[in-house]
Amino acid sequence: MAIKSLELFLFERGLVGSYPLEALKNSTLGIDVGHYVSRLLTAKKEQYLDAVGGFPTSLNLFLESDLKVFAEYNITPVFIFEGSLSQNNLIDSGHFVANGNVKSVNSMDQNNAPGATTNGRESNGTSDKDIALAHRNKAWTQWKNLVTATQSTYIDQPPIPHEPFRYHTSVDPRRYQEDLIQYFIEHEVHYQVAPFVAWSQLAYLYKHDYIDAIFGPTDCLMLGEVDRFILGMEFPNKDFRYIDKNRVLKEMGISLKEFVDIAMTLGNTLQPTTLPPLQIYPSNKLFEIALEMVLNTGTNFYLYQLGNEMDTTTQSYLEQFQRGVSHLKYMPVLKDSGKVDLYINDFENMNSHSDGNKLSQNGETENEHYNNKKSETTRTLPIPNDVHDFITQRLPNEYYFYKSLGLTSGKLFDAITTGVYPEEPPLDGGASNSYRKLVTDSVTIFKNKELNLLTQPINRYFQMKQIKQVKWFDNDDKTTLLNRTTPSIFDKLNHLIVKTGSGDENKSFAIDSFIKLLNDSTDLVTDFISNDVLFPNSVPLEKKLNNSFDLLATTLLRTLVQLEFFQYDFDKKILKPTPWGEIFLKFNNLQIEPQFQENLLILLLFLKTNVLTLSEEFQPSIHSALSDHTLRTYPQEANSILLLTRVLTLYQVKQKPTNYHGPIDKKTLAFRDHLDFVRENMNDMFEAVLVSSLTANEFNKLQYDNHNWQKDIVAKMPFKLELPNILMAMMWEFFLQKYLHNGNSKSDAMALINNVFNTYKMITKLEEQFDNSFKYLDQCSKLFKEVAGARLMKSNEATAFEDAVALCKNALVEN
Amino acid sequence: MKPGNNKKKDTSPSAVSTQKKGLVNTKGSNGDQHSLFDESSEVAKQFRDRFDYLLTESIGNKAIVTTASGSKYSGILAACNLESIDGLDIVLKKPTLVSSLGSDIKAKKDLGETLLLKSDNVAELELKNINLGLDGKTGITTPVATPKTEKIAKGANQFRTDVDISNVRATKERELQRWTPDEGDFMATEKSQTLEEASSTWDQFSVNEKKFGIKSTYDEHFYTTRINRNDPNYQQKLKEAQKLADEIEKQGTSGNIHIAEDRGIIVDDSGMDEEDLYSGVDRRGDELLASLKSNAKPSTTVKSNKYVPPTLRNQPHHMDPAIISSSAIKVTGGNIISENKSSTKTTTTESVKKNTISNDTKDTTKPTKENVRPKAHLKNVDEEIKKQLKEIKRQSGRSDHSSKTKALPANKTSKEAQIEELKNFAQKFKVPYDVPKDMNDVLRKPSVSLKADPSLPPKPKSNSTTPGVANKNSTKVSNAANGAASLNKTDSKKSGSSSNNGPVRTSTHGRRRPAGSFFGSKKPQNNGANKDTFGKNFNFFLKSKEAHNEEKSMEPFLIEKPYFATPTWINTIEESHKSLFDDENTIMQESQAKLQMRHMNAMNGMGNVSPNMAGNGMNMMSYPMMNGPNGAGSPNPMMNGYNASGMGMYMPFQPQPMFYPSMGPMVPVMGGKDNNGNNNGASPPPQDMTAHMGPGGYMNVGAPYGYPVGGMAPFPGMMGHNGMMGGATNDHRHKGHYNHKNNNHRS
Repeated sequence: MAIKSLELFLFERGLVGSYPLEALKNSTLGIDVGHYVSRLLTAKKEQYLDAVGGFPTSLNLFLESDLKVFAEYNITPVFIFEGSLSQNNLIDSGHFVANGNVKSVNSMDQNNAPGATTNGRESNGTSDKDIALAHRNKAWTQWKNLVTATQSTYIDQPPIPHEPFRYHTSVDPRRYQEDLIQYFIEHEVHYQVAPFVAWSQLAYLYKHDYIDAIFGPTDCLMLGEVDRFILGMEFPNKDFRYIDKNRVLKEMGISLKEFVDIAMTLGNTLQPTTLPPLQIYPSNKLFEIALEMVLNTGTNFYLYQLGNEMDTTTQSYLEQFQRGVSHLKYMPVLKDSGKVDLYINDFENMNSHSDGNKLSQNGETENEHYNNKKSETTRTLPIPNDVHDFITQRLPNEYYFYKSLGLTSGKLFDAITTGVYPEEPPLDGGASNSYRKLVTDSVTIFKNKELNLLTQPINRYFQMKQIKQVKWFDNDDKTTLLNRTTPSIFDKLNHLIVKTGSGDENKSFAIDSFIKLLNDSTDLVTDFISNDVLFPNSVPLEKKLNNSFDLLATTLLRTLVQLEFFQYDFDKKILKPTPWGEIFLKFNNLQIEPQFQENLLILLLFLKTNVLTLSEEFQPSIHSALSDHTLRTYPQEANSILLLTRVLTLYQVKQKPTNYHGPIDKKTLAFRDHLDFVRENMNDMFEAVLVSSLTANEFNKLQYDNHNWQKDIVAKMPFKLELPNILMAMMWEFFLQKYLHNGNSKSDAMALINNVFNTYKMITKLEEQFDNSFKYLDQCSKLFKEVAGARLMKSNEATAFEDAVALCKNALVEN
Repeated sequence: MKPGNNKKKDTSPSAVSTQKKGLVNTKGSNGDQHSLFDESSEVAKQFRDRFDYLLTESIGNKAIVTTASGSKYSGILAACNLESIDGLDIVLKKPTLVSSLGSDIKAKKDLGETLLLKSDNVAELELKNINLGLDGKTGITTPVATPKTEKIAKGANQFRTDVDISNVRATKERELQRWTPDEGDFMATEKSQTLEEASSTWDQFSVNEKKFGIKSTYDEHFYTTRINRNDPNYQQKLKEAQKLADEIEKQGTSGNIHIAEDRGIIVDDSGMDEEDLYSGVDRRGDELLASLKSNAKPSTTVKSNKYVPPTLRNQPHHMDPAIISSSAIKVTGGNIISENKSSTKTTTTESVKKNTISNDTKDTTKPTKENVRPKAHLKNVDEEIKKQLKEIKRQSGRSDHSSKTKALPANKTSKEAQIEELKNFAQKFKVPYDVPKDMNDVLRKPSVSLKADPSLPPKPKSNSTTPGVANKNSTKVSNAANGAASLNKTDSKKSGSSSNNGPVRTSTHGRRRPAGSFFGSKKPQNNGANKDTFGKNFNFFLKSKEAHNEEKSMEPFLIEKPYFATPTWINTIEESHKSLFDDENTIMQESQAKLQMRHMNAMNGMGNVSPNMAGNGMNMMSYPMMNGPNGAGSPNPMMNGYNASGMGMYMPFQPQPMFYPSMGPMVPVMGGKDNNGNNNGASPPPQDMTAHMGPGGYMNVGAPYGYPVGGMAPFPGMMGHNGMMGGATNDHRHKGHYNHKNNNHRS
């Protein structure tokens, strides 16, 4: 998010300059990923993303071509991801209520979550998340109406929604961050996850000459030491648009301080709410109006906030304003020392030279500042003692470092600093009981353990701090998470060590090799329970974990113990797989392809949670994307299709990067949401175990530079990527439906899929995709047989699935 | 039976039978049932069309209809109702009962001349001997037609081309006949005659008089000077006139196509479209100004928005020869100067390198392919040379154009050395990118005449050498430079890597600004290319160890334990951030003072006071002007800011006194562009801004077009600008400058 309405203003006034891209030749360009992506995925693109889930594939397309252009001009891009939100943003994005204002309208009075000292949050629903949620709700409602309206005519030609699921909002960064990081690692592109705001990290990099130019949002205008920055790139024209701060301020006739005053009132990244008196004006004219107020009547908006301080409802505006300004002055950035520190942006005194005729009474200090500026030593501002009030509490540098690598998603870190772990509604809205139960259950299955693992190594304050899970559907019921257990989980786990010896240094980690390792072991106890622990400093480095495979294998084993796939007791020297674990260890024998193993492990864990069996209907039920006609005429097959689509949500069709536009299926999406929730929690768990192991110094951390960390560890971590979208599931669903209705003609059904999904644009070799996914289904069928054999799943479900796969097989054979 | 099969049968002309069920489906008469099956509308339509065609073709042929009661009638199909809801109404001519079930004898009686069968009674329709071909229908029996119909028939299941689908029939061309007017239609011929065709001379005056009785008072000499051929000096005057005319015509058209055409000179206008020939404004010369502008102030933000038609983008005539030659001098000359100044040729490692490499390349007289290894090396050197050149250019760029001419004579003594240098440079110079293969051939030819190393792509180097050496010979230079520049440009387009070719770039197009100046003096380091930059730095562990090793290398290094970190950030003062904000009074005073200051500025006509004004000629000019009316405290508040600044601006250029009183009405007249600026919230449109921002803005338009016309152009920006500021600053008094401005326009 940038300064509201400013960009438009700048373009209107012709204050945006342009240069050919060549001007950037041989430079290093720092890019704010959020800003960059928002320029790529504009409102018209990926409008159905929220209805099918997964990664916005068109992003890859843009990225690829842009990187090519960068390479052509020898420009080195450095992508900076947004890190944690600061206090203002946390409140604005509904962090403390785990929802946009959809809910907070109802529960305004109760929203006094810990950490949110002031919750005078107006329910004007202007944050990005609010709009996104509201629009998603609207789209689903429209979809429901459409389904009802077409009920009588819909036989086998699925209707396509009219209402987009995204509108004028940016895509949630979490949707693409992990995928992009993997992409960057693969293509050896520099990236960093900033501890907080991305462009403040860029400002630091710029000041210290790590980058030559900033590509960022209009917020960069508030930076004292950045004179010009790039606002947009027009790759097709091979030129870019930039903003010259001094020129802009000159044209406006105001000082930087006044500009910041306006920006803080308008709303920007650091203070996202539009404050009075500007709230009443049309949003696209805001800046213009504010500027006029300043020029004509000498308005100072801070003064305005001060003046209205007495009113209790506006109390928070003043605080919001102050927090925003203070954040701008003290921006935590990851410094080149690897530590997160405050970068002082003394914007108030930065612009003094272009503000020559300032007040005479301040003349003396002005001069002083001026001199300081000249001698390049920015007089350091005093740092107040409540920085945590406008940013958040501080974590150890090591944690920020892991975050900068993308090793952790940071969601748990945020929970620790803010005291709230928000559970936000999933894409389908999360109305089903099973999903809500899953959320509730996740506290004991995952969250308590994770928090214990993460808070144990750090300051005692955090071990005592209350951290709550806040659910969007039940704001009043805040579950306090248990971060204290004795002995701590790490103490219990630290004897579990996978050490393969130093023979194979470059062996990269994968789940199938992990399974193989365990299967090859004759005695799990002697092989993987170590009598000595690795973390003390007395242990020589050679004895510690020295390669990434060992580290990740150890982590996975511990994670699986946590998830009760293995039974483990150090004192009794027990380490053996539970029935679930046994099935997991059979993955290789069942000839399940390595690429599916991660996702099937997720599915196993989901089945283990037992919130919903594979064939069980959602409660309250969600309308199927199959036609009523199909459901009536072919009830048996419809049931098969349900099973298939659910399992297929874990299969990613090989897809060309496109903006998807086509049929949608809420029922399948809802199931995908279940699985993705499990996936996210497994990821959290894995990260927590990994971080606990790393902070305890079980691993030789000094042997890797950042690139190795990224390449050998971050890229190999399981559960990171978001689950596939539901395209393959839907294609099978509608393929089979057509197949049933059209006299079992494969070609007709295939033609329908081709037609409805526009596959010529989207998928190469459609039939091959069907064949491959069929192999996957076949392997699943084998797996379910095993699961049912172990009585972990109803045997009739396994047979039903077998029948379903047989149906697929018949359909795929040309008749 | 499937509809598809049905159709196949149709192709055989023997017998066709159509079941009712089939009819119903293909006809789509039952809407609900139809939608049961997913036939795309396209397919359904095809079936329908075929069915219609079948029926149309069979009209007049024998048909046998089976009724619902089982009776069969044969007859000639006369008509059928395609619109009927549940089947097909049929009319048979000359019906006969073929067979009937049971005792349906009475049916036979009913048969008259025609038999009408309602759709609900028709069970089956059998059509006989239908020729679905096209024979006989178009009236032409070409042998070609037959295979064609087959093709169409086959097309039901196969791929059909557009021709098949559109059903093109062999069309017969009519013989065209010349139109001749009817005899006696005199007026027609008269009217249709053009002046050129007219056999008789056309005298509009006589016709007018004849037809309408109007006598013309026209006399040619009202409009022109009568030439007194009887004048004793006539011959002398004639000679003089002839001389003048010759003089004018000898001046040449300076490339102006209009003039050339007026004078009947044949111009090669290939590659120019009408826009350029007759409509477009000749903008050559802008480049000169643009380069002046960019030289004077490298950081200007102007981007020429000039539209260059695609046909002209490669045309050399868009370049000003003067720029090319001068910039070439600039570079080569600068180079020489710098190298000469360093007195010894081998002082810098740079030049050593250069020399060795040039030797290298000289020695290898073999073609490029054997020269692979040094080539890469060369590239680097070239880069370096270019960087140097660029740097030199940047430095010299700031100084005025004329300084170069001064610099050259100073070096005249070392002219020999210069030429030698240039020759050396020419040999070393190599295009820093791969020259396209076909280009190589083109380039190689002229290289024969030069003694340059044949292994190097030879032509582009003349780009820098020729103009420099032959700079006195201006006409030649321009040609050579043009050629070279255009060559270079096409190359650069392909490789997109010509940013270092400072001189060439500036001259090729005003459209793009010189590269590199975005960073100002700060040159891009490309730190990022170095892996360590982001690999070692920002690594908490490695950097901690580094720091540790520096400080106390004796102690063993231990990674900082995370539990040392406090949840609060490290602070330097024990105060809340809230206390760092100014208190109410301070802010109040400050903002009041600010307001006052703006107010004052407005009064002084310095509403847009800004430090960069010094660099802005226009603004400087405006000070005294604006002080006048404003300082006098114009009694009319409406006129104050806006008019004052506006007036101030106009005074030096168009000092007609009439502007003072009648300012109001004049504004819209002069407005044009500046109305934009003022109307939409006092925002000068971008093009105006650029005119304003560029220090050359004033010169830009003013110089080539002369003063009265040019005076207008730079103003819109200024008007808008000052208007905004002036208006804005006045607002606190008048509440909203929109009104204020509107008043102005109206009054």
